[in-house]
Amino acid sequence: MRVQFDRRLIYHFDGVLMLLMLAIIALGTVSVYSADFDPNSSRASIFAARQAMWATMGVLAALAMVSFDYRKLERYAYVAYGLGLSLLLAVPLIGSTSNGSKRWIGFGAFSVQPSEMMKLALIIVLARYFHRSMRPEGLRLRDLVVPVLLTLPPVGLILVQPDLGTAGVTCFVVASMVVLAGPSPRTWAILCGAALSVVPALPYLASHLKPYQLKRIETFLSPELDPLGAGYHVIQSKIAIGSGGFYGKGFLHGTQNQLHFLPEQHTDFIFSVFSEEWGFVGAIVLITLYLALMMRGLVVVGRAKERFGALLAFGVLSNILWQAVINLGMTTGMLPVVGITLPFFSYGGSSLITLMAGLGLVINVNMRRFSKDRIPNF
Amino acid sequence: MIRTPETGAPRQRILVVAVGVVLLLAGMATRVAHLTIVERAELLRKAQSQYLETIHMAAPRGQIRDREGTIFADTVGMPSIYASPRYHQVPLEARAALAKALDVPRSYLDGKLDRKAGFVWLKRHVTREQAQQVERLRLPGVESILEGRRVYPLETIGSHIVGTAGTDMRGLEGIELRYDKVMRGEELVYRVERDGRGRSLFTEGVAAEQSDERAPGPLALDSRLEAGAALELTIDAGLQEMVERELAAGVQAANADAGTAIMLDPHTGAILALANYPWFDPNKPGNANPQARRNRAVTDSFEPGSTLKAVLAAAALDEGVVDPDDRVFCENGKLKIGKWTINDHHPYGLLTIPEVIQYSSNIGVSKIAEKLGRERYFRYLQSFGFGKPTSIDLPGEVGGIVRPVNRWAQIDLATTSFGQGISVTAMQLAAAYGAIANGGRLHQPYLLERAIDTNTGKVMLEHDGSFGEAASRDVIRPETAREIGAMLERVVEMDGGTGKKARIPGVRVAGKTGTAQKVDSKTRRYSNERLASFVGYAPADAPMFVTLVMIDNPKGERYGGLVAAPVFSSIMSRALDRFGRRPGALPTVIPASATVDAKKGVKQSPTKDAKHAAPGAKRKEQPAAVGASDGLLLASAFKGPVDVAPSFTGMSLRNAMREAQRLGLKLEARGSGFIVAQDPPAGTPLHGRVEVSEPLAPARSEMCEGGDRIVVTLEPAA
Repeated sequence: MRVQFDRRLIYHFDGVLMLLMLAIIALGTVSVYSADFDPNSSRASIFAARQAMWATMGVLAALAMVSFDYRKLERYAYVAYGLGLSLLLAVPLIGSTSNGSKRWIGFGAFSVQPSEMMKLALIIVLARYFHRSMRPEGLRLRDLVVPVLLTLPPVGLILVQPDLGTAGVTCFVVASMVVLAGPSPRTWAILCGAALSVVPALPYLASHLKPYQLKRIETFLSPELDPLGAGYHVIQSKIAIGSGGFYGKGFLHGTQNQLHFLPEQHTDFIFSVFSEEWGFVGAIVLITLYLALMMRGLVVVGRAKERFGALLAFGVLSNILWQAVINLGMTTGMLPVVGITLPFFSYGGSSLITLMAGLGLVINVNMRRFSKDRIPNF
Repeated sequence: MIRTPETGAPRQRILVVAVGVVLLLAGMATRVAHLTIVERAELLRKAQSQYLETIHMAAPRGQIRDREGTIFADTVGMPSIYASPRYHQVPLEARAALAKALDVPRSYLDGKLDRKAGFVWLKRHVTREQAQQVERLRLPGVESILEGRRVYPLETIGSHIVGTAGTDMRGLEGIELRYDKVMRGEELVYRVERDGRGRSLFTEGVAAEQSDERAPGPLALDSRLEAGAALELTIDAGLQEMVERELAAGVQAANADAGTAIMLDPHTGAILALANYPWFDPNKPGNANPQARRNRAVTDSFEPGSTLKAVLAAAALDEGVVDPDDRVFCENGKLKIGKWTINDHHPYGLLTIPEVIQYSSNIGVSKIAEKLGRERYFRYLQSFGFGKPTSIDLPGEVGGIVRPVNRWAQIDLATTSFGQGISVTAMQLAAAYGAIANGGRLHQPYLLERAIDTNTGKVMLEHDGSFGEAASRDVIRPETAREIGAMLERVVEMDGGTGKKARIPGVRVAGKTGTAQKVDSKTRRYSNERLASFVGYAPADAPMFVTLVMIDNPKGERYGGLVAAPVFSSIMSRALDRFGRRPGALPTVIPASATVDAKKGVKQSPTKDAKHAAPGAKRKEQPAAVGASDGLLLASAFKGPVDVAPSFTGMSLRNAMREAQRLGLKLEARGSGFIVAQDPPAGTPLHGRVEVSEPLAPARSEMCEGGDRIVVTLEPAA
């Protein structure tokens, strides 16, 4: 396929989005360095170096994602979905277990989290579906049947890994896309009514959760019950953030982190490390960066050339938003600890590269908003 | 941007989404603000409490010494083993070895290690060998630290006086409890900073940095721990040991349950010896029967019986209601008062007042009491100190019961006159007799002569000075005291007196017997059990010691005159022998070593003992005994055991024994006097016992150190 790169494409490359993302990545890498820092050792932080390396690979991935017309994705949406689903299916067979769940597939030295890729594939396939099922009066309830059917298999597979957090984020992303796609008022009413009627069924659902999942929810509700067990993470994280105070304890001076009181300090709880050392001020800077990224992204959504691009960009953005909100909520003790990383910030190659590739798609949508090429319909 | 028909995403909808995004992220920011600003102080405190673990380390407790410097209680450094189970899991498979090294049951160890505490003692006060064994196991988080431990080198001797202190170095009983704060010193709070994995990052002060790799574990106590004050008691360890031995012999001979003996200086109220039998070993307080731990001399009150008659007679004479020459008709043994009948042991007719006391006539004292009147008698009982604690510096003292005079029934004046219907403590009785002995002044009995700052050698507290000024008061006129003294002398010295067995050849003794019926605690009625007692002083004309002996529930012979008086006699004769029977105040120096055997002592030249008493002799004999060197003594108590024999030559036995105690050596002494030879000689590598030989001879005494028993044998020279 011949890719035409006209000057306008370069001109509309969204450098702001790219810079915001890179700023978050930079802060994250610094925090990973701190999380991995050992004052008694002269060794450099391996984690920070790897994170920088993955960020570089991520930039390449993002550039790869802008190099073609995103509309071609519409054509290959189901291929991507099928690939994602088969990877997910492979997890129980060839996946590796860590912390009691199977989420990873190893490819030599590198391992990937198929659920991350699945999310992207799902976003593409739903963008395609909603693009094609657009109705001026809004989505009918029956228009939601296919999206739900598309969502259930991957979410089910993610749930059995088990990865409650990612499954939840996936649902939130789908819901966000439905909202943007625009249900009719009637559909809204029915959806809200259904959501309310689920509440009484919660105890039944609770009985089907794994003991550790239940425990996490219980501990979330009252972490002080078991300060050294499941509640430990949350308490330690709150202590780290709170003791950082307004200006923080300074780079590499976070006691909670340096003394290894924080669990998963370079992945799930990286925000606690950052917040302890940079304080409220640092946290506000970081949250503002996320906000700016989202606002800028919503501008892209708003001026996307067509519905597919808008939904695609929005799906990617909502994934970033929900991960950030859930991670911040769990590190500050507002949400249960569900193992969601802070996007662009937490250590982890698979997640970082997938997220950067996703943002590349958003930039792609922005770049091609004036493109005259039509998407060939099937 | 204008909405394009293709996107179908109206601008308002994106705006709503944008508002939602702002709200969500603003919510997160608010939460962070709440944590970092509102909850900050609380979270900071939690943060500090988890990485700043504190260990409270008690300072070395000050010594307790007798009036001559013999150590009753000392503090030595011993390793204690601790763990941090919150951060370090001690592997299950390693625990058996640890339990074995510490000599504790596995279940006990599991109980400690399965707790999630950040700091837990596994076993305190282990031997160095045990600490090294534990160290060799190299278990995560299991470490040792040197802690002070209280030791009582004299073991059971003086146990009720000294009391006990717990592993946390806090006084629990006796002097240890009474002067706890003085002896305790300033504790250090170590801040042990730990990380989430439990590694000790920083151990302020704890001697971790002093320990080298090969001999792990701290080797010295923190130099910043300043020892508490040392106490010098009025007790004389030699007398104490002798009194205990004689008391035990008396209790055993009488097949009795228990016994108490008190010896005090009537001129000051200083307690020279205070013994209870059975006793206990304060090094192993857990092994002791609670009965054996009670300091009966102050915690138990009893009906005194006839020993109280001296107080009644003193009151009557002092008030002038009777004259010593007055005669009392003793009703030939039976006196009816109301519906009660008072009996005498033997029927008597007319008796003089001294005879009433001499024969211990109940009817006689009842009639004297009648003349005195209840109010006045009550007043004298109070002024002699009955009915309320003597305020001696021992915990747990009771005051006995003297019922308010307005509640006395008709018979009560009579019974109280011969010591029934009133309860007193042995300490009260001994103090009251002290007043009779010294010419009418009641001194508060006391145990602490002075407290000395271990670090500076300065006197911190001193009797007759800044603290506890004895509540001394005149209770009877000197003439009265003299007249009562004469009567008490008749009790012992005249034929027909009840206290003949208290006699000491060559010394005039004054005293009074008592045989009280014990009240059954369950039925609240008199039982068949008796309390035989004798309390008195000698020499009668110039009293040196007041001694009280009480034998609880003797079987067979039950009278005070038969059971307690002989014990009094042997205690007094031995004590007087040691001081060359010199009349007058107590000599400054009491011969060191052990007790002098009575018979042997008689044969000994009095000049030898007199030499000990001579002023100035003390300094020559023991140049480095008390005073400024006390700090040294305590500090040196933390030195480890020596590995070569020190030189004892030229030392007195006492000093040698003190040194041996300090160094943890067994000392077996032969003879008495000064040390002229020792085997093995100084400098010899040690692996066992050092024998010290002395030329001359008497008595035996038992002393011990730190748990290892030292038998010191002093044998008569061939």
